[in-house]
Amino acid sequence: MNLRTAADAAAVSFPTQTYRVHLDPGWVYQHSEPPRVEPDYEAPNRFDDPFGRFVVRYLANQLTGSMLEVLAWHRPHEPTEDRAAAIEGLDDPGFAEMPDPTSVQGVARFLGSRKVGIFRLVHGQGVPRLIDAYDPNLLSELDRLPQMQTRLRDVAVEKAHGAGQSGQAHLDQSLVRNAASDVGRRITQTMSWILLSQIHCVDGLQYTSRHDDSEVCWALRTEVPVVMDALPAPLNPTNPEHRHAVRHAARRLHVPLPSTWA
Amino acid sequence: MRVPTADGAVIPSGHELLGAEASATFDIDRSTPQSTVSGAASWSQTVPLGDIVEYLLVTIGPRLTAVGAGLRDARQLLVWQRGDKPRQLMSDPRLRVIAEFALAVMARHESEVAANFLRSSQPTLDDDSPLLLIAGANSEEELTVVQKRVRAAVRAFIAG
Repeated sequence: MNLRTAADAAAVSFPTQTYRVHLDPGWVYQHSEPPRVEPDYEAPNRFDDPFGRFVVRYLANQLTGSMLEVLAWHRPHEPTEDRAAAIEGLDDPGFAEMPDPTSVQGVARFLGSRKVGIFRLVHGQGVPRLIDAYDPNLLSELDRLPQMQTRLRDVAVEKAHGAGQSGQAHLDQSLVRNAASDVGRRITQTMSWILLSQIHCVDGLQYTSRHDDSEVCWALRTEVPVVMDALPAPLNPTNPEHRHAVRHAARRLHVPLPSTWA
Repeated sequence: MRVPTADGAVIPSGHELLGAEASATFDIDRSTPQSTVSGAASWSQTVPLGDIVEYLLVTIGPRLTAVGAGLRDARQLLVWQRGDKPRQLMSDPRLRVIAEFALAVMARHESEVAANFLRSSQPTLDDDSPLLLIAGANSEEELTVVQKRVRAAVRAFIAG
């Protein structure tokens, strides 16, 4: 087996519809310019091109999956909250007119600005080649490539996943699921760069949310023809689907919800 | 000083607009996350510290500003707001970095969202919060490393 045959065997189908929760869900699909790469450029997301030469778009099979990804930005950080609660001198008259925003206010504003976009594959424009990024045979073949070997020799990766002092880390599902910036994300970005730009046989990757293995997500190249259904719908607490997704994600992540959503 | 918001409007805070830095504020190119962050970085490095402090006080508030600056008592912020120079070496650069990120987020979101971004556990920062990372930087070199990481997180947040 080589990488191409492994990729063929890892093929998966795109679902009937997918979701994206965003300030302007359509915007990311109208703009496919790669980021302007500056000396300090660091690709932030799991399957981004580490060199910033192509754009990856992210979608989720379910609204709950997309909500998990965006509400993760508002997960309380206990040490910060402890530090904030201990700040002294806030009763000084000089602060009388100053705001003291709470997490709930921030979440309320954030949810109030979000819209739900539903995306479908455009029929008649070719069938994109999509593969399961966690497929064990695919990972085994990727593990043998020099580009991946170089990445696996990173000190942080070897420290976290190498077997013993002189052990070499191998590409497996534990590494691909690791979301740490100095370990897992560098690996998944290298995977994306190899699969989506170097071997020219893959258009997109299926993976699962780091928060829930049952939430299937997609990282697609801009060439994959997806289109948004009608206008995106503002997140609305009276919409049962929206309400369920927001509450589900907030419970999972311990994000405080405003009363309109709780 | 006036405070730029997500839609480009301003919030008067009872002080006169300071010409040079105000125009710098409104000249931020918001067309891409990268240009927004670059514009916010330039602004935060050119404005007097007193205005940086005032900007933070009227947007994310004294509590969170004090956390990011590494203070236990927020009243020190009022002293710096009046124009006094900090004696602590890292106070000025930390405050400028916080202001950079607050302004960049507020180019597309309201101030409460920016405040929550700064205090929350961020997936792209290995679940650390931007404020504690900034407060924990005890040298210019450490702050530069933190700044680079948080800039990437801000770009992802603005884009997402």
